[in-house]
Amino acid sequence: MKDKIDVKAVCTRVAYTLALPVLLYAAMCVLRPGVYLNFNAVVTLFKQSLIYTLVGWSMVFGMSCGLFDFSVGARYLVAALFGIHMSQYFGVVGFVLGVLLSSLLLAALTGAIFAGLKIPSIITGFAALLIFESAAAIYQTKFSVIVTENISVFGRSPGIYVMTAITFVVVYILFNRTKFGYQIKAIGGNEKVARSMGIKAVQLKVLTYVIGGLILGLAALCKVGFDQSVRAMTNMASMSAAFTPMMAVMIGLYLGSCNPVVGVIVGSFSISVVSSGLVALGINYRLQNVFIGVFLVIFIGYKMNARRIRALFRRKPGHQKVQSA
Amino acid sequence: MKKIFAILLALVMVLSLAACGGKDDSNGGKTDAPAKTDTPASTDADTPAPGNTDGFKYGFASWGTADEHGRTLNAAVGWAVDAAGGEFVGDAGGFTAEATVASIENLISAGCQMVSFCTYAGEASVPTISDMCREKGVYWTMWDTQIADPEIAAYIAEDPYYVGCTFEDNVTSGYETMKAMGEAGVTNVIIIRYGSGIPTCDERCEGGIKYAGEANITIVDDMIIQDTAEYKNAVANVLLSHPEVDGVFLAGAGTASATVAEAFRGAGKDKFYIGAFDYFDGMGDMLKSGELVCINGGHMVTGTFSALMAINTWQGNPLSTDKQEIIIPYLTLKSYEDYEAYIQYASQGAAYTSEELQQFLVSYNPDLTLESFQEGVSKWSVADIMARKNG
Repeated sequence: MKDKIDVKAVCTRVAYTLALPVLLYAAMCVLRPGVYLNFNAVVTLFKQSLIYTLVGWSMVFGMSCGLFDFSVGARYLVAALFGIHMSQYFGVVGFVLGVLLSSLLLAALTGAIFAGLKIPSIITGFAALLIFESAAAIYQTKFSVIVTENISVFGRSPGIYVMTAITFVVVYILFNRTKFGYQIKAIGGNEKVARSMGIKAVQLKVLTYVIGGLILGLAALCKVGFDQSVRAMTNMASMSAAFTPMMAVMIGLYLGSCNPVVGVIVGSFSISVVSSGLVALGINYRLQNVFIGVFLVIFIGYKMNARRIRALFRRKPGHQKVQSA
Repeated sequence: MKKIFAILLALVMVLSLAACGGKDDSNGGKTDAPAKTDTPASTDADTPAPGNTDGFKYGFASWGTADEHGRTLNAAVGWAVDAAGGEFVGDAGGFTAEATVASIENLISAGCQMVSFCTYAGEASVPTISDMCREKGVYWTMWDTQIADPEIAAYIAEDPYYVGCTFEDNVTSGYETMKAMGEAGVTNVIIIRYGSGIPTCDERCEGGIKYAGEANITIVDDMIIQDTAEYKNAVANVLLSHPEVDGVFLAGAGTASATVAEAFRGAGKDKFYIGAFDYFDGMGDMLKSGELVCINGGHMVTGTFSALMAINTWQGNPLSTDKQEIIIPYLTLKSYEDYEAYIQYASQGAAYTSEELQQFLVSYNPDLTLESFQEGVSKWSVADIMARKNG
């Protein structure tokens, strides 16, 4: 017998999920009605958030099992440059295959270093970042890096929406409907217990790099057309490309009321609203990262301490309640 | 066992640091350099060692060669060093002050008798570099730089190893760039600076803001963004709040022009104006489409002539007993035809032959003076390059 869908529970979860972006946007509408009280603004902000979402999806697998890889930006640079170079000989097909294959290869390499040498993921990420950044800087001098119209299609409407939809389906299925997805969540929950259950943690973590590399490749196809330029960076500057998507993934993982894959969309859009709102409010650009950092701390801090906060409000005078951590 | 290993490792690290930090009291191979003291005698600067025509190493610190400007800049320094019979040593440290200091350390350690750097990361590192060069007896110049801080200027004026600097008239160039945008039709502009407290950047904006004030162009926002990957969203966010914006003045990082143009297209605007500094790969197409109104660059010879200044001094033929300041013109491109001429005559291959550059060395041209040096430099333009190449 099929279980009845609890409509009330579903609606409650949807409401909790949408509460953050809706409240943020509503606040902007109150503060700057001339800017935000129109559908165009919603579309613009949503489109801005798509690149963070796509890159964030490439990181959600690794972050779910405790891996922090800052080499995402550097790997994107190499893959994007290789794709652009290939497009000069083989057109769009060369661009697509070049980006996807190089992204997969670089991710597999990073994962192999992590697993083979048993180095913490953060260290592996930094090493890979330095190596791939330098490679990109040298590679960029070998040809003209021009993003042509035909390869920009993935970064513009409607291509970017189509790519996002395809990537969402792929990521959702991988994360929620495969053994791989269940196992990485088990590792993220408690690795010792997961290992004792026979889950091969190291192999799975390497697989998160590979699958993350594939998703990053899809993101790179869009980002190249979206940005209309690719510029090699040095001295760890590419690390900044990972920060905003990482924040979006954190919001997605801690949101609780929805699947993390959906949560990444919510996190990305929320950050876009905050960034845009700060500009509309005339906040100095240099202070914007301060506000975004504070926003993240407040959000994650609340989620981590939600029970204690609720208990504080429920506590009756003269009566001590035992609270679990 | 672990404790013993840890202690050994700590000892190795401490000894390594001690070895690296140890001061070299010997004069190395620089027999012609003045004696190193904390306060060198003023006569050392007034009477440089005569006629040094030995081979030399010339060190050049920059952010790298990944972009058009960096690539041509490093190549242009190579023209001068080759013409003078030296060896070019480049160090691509990056965009921070610490990276610049580290680059100079590396170059001096590599045996360079002369070094050159730019203060694109700010002027704070200049006294440190001055001290390093003074201690090691290494001549130094600055390219694309004119010191704005009077205390730092006074400090380096006392350094006998400081030769001088080359710089562009950024205020005038900024003014002319905004003027080009104004004449094209811009009315509401965003200014994007690539750093704070950087005189080159600030002077370009100063000139641009001056013209905007005269021509009633509204400066809607004045932003400082170091990461070019953030330019698009920053412009898109301003367009959301200020849809009247129709132009962007990029004080540097011209490579961001394409992503800025995409921000305008994403907001549904097909008519907009970009004025920028520093060449980039796609500028030809953007000049052709009219999205890019004006781009200033081609000032890679700032490295060439700072090298020639230093070489003259090192060879015992300083162009002046005072610190030298040479103004370098930009190659300003305002059309696709300008771009084609630049590519043909200045970007591919050397814009000067060795013989032409040797005329800027006293060892080859005994009649050379500071004034004739500046006069020669001031001719730098696409027309001049075409005239020389076509004989």
